[in-house]
Amino acid sequence: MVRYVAKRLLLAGVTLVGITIVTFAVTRLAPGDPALEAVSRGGASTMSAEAYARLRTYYDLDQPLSRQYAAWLGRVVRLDFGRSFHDGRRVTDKVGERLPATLCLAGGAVVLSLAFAIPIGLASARRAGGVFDTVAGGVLAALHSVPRYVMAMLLIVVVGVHLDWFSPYGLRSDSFEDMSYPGKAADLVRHFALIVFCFAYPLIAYQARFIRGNLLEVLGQDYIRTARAKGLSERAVLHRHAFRNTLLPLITVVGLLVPSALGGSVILETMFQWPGIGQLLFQAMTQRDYPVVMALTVVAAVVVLLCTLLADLTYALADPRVRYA
Amino acid sequence: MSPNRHSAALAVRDLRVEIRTREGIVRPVDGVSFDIRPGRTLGLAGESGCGKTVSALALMRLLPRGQARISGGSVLWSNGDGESVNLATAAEQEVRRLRGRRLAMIFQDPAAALNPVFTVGEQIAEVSRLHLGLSHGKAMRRAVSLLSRVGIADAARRAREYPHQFSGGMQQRAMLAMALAGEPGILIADEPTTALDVTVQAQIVDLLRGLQSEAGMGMLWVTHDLGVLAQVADEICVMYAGRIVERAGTRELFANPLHPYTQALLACVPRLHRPAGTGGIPGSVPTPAEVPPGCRFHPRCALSRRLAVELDAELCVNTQSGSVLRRCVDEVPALRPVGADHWVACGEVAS
Amino acid sequence: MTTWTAYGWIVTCATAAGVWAADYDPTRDPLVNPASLFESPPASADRIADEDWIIRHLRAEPASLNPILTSSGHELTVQELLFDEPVVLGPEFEWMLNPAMAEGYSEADDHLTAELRLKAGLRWQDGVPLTAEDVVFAWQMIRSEHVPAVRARAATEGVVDCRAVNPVTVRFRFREALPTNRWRIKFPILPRHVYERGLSEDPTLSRSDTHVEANRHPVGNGPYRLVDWAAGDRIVLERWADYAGPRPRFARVIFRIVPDGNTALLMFKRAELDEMMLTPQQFARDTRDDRFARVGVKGRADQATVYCIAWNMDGTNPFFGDVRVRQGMSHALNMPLILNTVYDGLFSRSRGLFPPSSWAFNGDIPLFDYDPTKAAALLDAAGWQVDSEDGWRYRNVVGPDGTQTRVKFAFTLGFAQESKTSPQLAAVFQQDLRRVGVDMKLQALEYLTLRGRVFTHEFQAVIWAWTAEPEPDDAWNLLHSAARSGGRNFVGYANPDVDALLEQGRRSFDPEVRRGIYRALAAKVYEDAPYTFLINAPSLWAFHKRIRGVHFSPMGPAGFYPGARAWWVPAGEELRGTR
Repeated sequence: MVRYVAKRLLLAGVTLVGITIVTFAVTRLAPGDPALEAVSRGGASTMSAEAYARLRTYYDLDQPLSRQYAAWLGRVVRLDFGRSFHDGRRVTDKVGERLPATLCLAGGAVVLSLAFAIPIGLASARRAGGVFDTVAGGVLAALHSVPRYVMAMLLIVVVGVHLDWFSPYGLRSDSFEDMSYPGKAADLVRHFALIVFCFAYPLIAYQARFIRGNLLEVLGQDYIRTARAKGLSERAVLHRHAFRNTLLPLITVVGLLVPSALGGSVILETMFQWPGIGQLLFQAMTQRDYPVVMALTVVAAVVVLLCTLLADLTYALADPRVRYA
Repeated sequence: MSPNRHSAALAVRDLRVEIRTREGIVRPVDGVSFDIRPGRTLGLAGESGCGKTVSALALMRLLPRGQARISGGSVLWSNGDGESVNLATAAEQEVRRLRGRRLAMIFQDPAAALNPVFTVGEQIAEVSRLHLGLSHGKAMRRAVSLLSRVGIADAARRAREYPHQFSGGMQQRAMLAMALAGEPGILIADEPTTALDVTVQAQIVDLLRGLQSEAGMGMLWVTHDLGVLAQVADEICVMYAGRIVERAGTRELFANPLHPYTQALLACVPRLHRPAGTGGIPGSVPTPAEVPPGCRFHPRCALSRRLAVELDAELCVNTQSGSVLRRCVDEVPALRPVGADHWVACGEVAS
Repeated sequence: MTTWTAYGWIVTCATAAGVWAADYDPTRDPLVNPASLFESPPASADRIADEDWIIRHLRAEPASLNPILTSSGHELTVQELLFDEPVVLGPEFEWMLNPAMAEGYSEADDHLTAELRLKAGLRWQDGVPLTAEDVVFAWQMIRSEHVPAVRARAATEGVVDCRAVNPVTVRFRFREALPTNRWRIKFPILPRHVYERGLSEDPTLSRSDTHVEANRHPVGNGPYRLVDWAAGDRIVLERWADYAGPRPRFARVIFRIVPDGNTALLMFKRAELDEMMLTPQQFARDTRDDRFARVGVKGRADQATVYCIAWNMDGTNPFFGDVRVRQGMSHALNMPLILNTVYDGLFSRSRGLFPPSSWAFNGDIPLFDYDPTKAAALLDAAGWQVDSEDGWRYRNVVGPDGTQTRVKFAFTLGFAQESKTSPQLAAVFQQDLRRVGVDMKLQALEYLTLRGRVFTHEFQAVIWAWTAEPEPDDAWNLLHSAARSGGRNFVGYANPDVDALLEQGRRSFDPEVRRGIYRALAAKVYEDAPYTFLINAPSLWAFHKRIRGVHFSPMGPAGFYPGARAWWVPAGEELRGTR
């Protein structure tokens, strides 16, 4: 087991370096650079060749690409992601201050989606092929096929602006500090609800189908017959004996869904004015803020690699028959 | 504990089971009757696919829902106090009250029959909590004592382990402990030793016999292995293609097997002084979808074929499997008494 | 990018909700320029709300609030409320002293030195006295080799020395005696006591934790001080009670950072923003619903932004070096159609180099009329003949080695893909040119990429824009042949007459003479057409209806003195804050 983990981690490390090399090359070979961005930020009137040359030196862009990468890698190994080209702040600070907002989203989306998916999956499996199963399956499939940004736009315009039931923009109201504690909680919920739902609804569809399918498979197992032979009610059989067995694969699937949910955060965070790392990535890309783009690439890659590894290890812990060599 | 425990009985009459398949409705159990008596063991024998496991599941009403159902007959459970329930027709809730409490069942493959994500102790304790209303702690302590009762050493530690940490024999012992937890009057054992090594088989057989006499349970032992039944059963029913073809006391059956199928089965059992029959019975059990008319055994029946050679041609008929007696194809033989405590369903043998 | 296109489309459909006007007339829209928006404050202070908050729109997150490092419009919007400068831009783009800070400015007779006198007793927001040393320190930092002060450095070009004579007097020395020298001392100031710390360890002012922190939470001297900056979300300013100038009108100014304009408009309709700039489409179409009318009004005024098509004349293409070709292009462009359809009737046609708000503006220039026949004749005259077979124009071009090759008149027009109007304009122009036998291909580029191409002269023609500086001498950098390398003469324009006019204009001290020179320059450049001038973009703005006292300068409603400081809300109409 230890050897397996070590091997996987080594492989993950190699993959990570590969990803950074590709990202590094792609971002730097794309047209435009931060010096050009800075020199032309004030409009055409500030553009001058002399200022551009000075800024290229300021950003170390006049070095060969390989040396720039080596310098970057050398710092990152010591966990120093450098400073943002945009505002000179430490990249770790910039990412760190935005990470909680995105993690709240990912966590909230997972919790919310499971809160819907588990009861729906259980009810569908109890009477597979029944009315509820058919209707829920159809509705979820339809929901799943709606692109996130379309759903987001509909919710913002209809529920947010026209009906004014929720606040679609940002984390909190401007008068947040002057609110009472219940008022603050309500304000957070009003801001959180729509964006979390947009993250969660494709997950609901996916997870509900996954739970249903898995339950149906489990319900055919011998130990379910044993549970029935004990005299347990159908409910206890389903909720206790069958569901417990679908839980581990479910955790694995959720683990693998989190990275893809984070991928959607670039568009959703921008649309909902949510100050998370997706929004930061979008800004950093348009500003050619290489250190921030690179750091976020590393963060994303590490999250994906860790989630995959954890998913595999969860399986190992769940089922001792799976051996790792 | 329960005063009636030693007098629980199960009377099965004309039990029929239907299974819906893509080709239509089939009847893997087609009019089976037998009795499980207090303190006695009834053996139900037959090749695989003859309907014996379906019968056992039907008694517990554990047929897969939506696919199979009891289509006729009765399964009358009774205890000594005059309380009785027809399990074939009782409400689901009523059946659940009895399951695990009055009737328990153990299965062929204990590794699959135990839930991999609960500890063995939890799974045993669940029964006591459900039926005896014990607290979690008490139920766990009882689970430990049940485990030692079925011969598991270091039971307190073992109770906290998961099924995969148990060997096959220990898993079956754990299943047995689970079955005993509700103090049932009747135990249904469906091929309890088939999946186990030979030496372990013997241990489980001994254990079950000991427990039965200790607890005085009525028992139904379902197996294809007549050799095992010789050791444990008081009475044996031989099933073929959904029907019982012969029924007799164990000693009588082994001494005087009358039905050609029983004879063929016995020929396959290895005995101390006789080598096992070579190659078993020619042909195979028909699937429920293609049961032959008349006596269901006739396509494989050596007797019928032998008689067809000896008797007049007009009493015979040519079938795909050769020439057999016409009455074997035309008449459905009923189970008829042929002696004290001995019934057989064969027109030729009975006459 | 398809995502954003679809997104914009949905917004349009959802908010326009059937309100679709092919031709929109802003003068008949009751929400445009209502008198209340421009109302002056009453004399009695208790009729002005004192505790209201205003929530303003920021298109992007500022990189820094250090005034010498910033250059973007959105950064200036925040920074101008935090920092006061001695010299400011007035409401009509005029040079003026900040009445809260400066007492006087005088130039020596030789125009080579000048003195700026500050008010006595000025303080920074942390209580430290503000003196001439702070001005000198800022100048030194701006001119430092290490500090990436792009805009401020360009603005102070020509000031060769700056020193403090006494705590309230700064003396400047200029390289040349020019009428524009007083503009060169209009630069931001810095609190020396804050930035001097750690200067040896970080001479860039932007790379140490101390300096980055100072740039993010600056110690200013303006009417407001920063209390909170939540990354990607909002920047909160609070009234500085000890401000030396007039009492700031709002208790709080909150900047919400909203990069997407469609999102911002929806937030405005939810009263989550009190002001924002509108696109022409938003102004004409997306703001005609009840939701908008309930909360907002619209303001519209001319602005000093010039849109044009820039023709690359540096010799890398065989087309645009010939003035007849450039004129032909200008005649081929169907401006009336473009004004009506592409710009919704909101934009006025450009009349050349200087916008109408400039004192150098020349309204008498005869404009290129839309005339395909004239265009065709000019192209014929330039040697570009129509091939009777395929209908395109061709010409024999003599290469450097003397060989002749037949070249088709086919070129590429680049434009910013982020622009709402440029793609439409380009498409119309493409049709116009096809009619006269010229094959124009279109290339939509990310704005930054487009700027890069222009900067390195890798283009044939682009749709380009700039905001004119208040001082027409700015045109030197754009048009003088010496500005082809290092300056902004990206099109490689070289005309001795124009060079001469530019030199005369920058050296004359007589305003009337200068005006005549620049009027002549504008006419000459228009006719010579290194750029085909298109439109002057107007300021299109939305305000919450309670906001009063708005004035539109050639820069828009803010970015000048007093600008946003003059906005007020009548007592009793407060919307936010702790009443």
